[in-house]
Amino acid sequence: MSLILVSAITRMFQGLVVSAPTLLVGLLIAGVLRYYLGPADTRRLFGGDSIRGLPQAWLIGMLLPVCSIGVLPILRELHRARVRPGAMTAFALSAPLFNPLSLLYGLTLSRPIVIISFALASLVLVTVLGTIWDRYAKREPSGLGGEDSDADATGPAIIGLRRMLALLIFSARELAGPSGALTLLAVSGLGILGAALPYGALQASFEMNDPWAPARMTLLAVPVYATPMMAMGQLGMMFVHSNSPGAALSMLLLGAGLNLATLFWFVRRYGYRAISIWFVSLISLVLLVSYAIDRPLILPGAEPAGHTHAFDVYATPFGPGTSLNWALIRETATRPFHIFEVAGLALLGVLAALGLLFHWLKLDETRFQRESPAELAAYDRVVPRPVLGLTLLGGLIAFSIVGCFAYYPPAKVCLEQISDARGEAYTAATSGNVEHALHWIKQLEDWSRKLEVGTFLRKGEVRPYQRMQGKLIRKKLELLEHELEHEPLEPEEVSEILRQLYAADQRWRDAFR
Amino acid sequence: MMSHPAFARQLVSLVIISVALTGCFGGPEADHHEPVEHFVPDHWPADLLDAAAKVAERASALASQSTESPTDGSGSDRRPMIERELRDVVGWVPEIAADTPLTEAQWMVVHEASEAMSNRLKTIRRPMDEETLRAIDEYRRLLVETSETLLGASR
Repeated sequence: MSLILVSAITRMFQGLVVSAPTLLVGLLIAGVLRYYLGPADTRRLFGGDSIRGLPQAWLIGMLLPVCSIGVLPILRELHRARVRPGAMTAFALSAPLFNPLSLLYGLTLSRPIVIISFALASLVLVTVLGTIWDRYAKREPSGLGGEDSDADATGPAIIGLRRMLALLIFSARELAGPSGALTLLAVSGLGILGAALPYGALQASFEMNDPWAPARMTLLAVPVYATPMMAMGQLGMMFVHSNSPGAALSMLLLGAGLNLATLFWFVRRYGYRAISIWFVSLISLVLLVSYAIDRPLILPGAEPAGHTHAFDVYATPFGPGTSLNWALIRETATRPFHIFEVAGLALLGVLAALGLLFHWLKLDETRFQRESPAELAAYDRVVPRPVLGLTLLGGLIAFSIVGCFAYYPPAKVCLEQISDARGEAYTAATSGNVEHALHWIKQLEDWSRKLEVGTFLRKGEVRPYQRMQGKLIRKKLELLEHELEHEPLEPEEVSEILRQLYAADQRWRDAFR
Repeated sequence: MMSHPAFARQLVSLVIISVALTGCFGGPEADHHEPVEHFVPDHWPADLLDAAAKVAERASALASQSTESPTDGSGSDRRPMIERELRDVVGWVPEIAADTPLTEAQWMVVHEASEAMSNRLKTIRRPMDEETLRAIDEYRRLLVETSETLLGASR
């Protein structure tokens, strides 16, 4: 079996799994825009032709929980609704960068000013880029624009339960059609990188004082697909390892904000010439901002680690000389995923199967357009589309805020989980069970972040002492991780690190009690 | 809608560009499986007492040669390196202090003093002014006293 091919497929599969929840959200939002909000109100929601259109699109993007793959069905719908091109690019680039979950996570990674600077840099970028794009991309006139046609915007409305059915059929057909194809193209970027880059090739490519780091990252990030949380996690590792802040920004703006399918979709819609101007402007702006912040954002006393594992996921997952077998491939491909990612993939599978069935039966949403207000039952009330649409979008934002509280539980719950994880990790490390220890060390690191965000959400602050203890414990856990990866394993060294860890661990947990 | 050959051409172009971009990474030196060790700078202090000594040593090197630049023997100016190391050590002190049995209140004193010193050292005058030298000495004494408190508590 070819190592290159298996690496590519493994990375694509992993990308597909992590994209599943936000792709589902993207399909839902696209359906809401089409069947609840309608083209005119969609244009209004994105600021119409007013000057506030670009920042408004940026803000909506920041609030909606989608990634650069989840943005694709929405983008198709925005084009169909003939939303201003500049606002579309502003939304397409900013929506995958941050969402309430990742923004909160990001605030605990470094000084909050760094993440706020990154968010503001993205606002400047999308505003400038949107203005350039508005100048070169012509909006197609009514009737010619859109993915299919504008016909059903003026056709009979679908209301009531039938509208919900229409939304389901629309989402399923989209997934088994254009949006599904674009998703595969997006994750193929990961496949290309996984096939082309040797194992661990990116570990020392983004050092703090390397003048090429931001430029190198800008090149890497174009084919990369990363969810907002993944990008934030990588940013966190870059901060821990004191990697180049400019490279980190570039990773966030292009790695999370863009993928091959976004580029491809823009090329198809607007042609090579217009997209070349847009792409060159985008890369130039990203490089400009990255180099501008690269030195000023280096923390005083930053301690370069000389490497990072943050970008190992973009290289081949198999080391040189690995003999491939099915068990190893399965174990690597199904790295620990979150429960919501696995559930999302299962739901995506069901929806895709339904979509294929609907395509085969030639069943689409138009059959629900026969209903007229005269057919309504006496207790039914016709609620205007914008009210329903905005309620649904507002509900989605409210849901993602509630989701923040669920994803980042109170300190007491985090400490209980930490207690379990540390027991597993330290026992496995002591007994030399490396794989088990490494798994639980990752869990501990994850819970240490959740502990800080959960505290911040409920208390409004994380005290400097708590923050420092969190930093210390993660640093020591990483040292343990490196020691465990050392071949041959040196039990005395592991014991020494564990001895230091116990004391730091106690202080850390006490700080949050 | 775009025709299939045009679609295929665009797809192939994208893939070629992406593969070309990835050629900028990797190479023989990157193709290894050895886990990389964490780099610990030479001037990373062992503890608070060592941090106090390192601060004093660097402040004294900067003050004693206020008019003449300290050199490494080869004639090159070492002053920027000493200044950077002084800033580094002050920036690391809160982390070193947090890795001791200091209480949160005791740690906050060291943390705030280090923050204030980091701000002061953002620009270092040449020659170093008396006020900065006095502040550095006070800071050094705080680190020594905190270290003694820790020693006393451990006895």
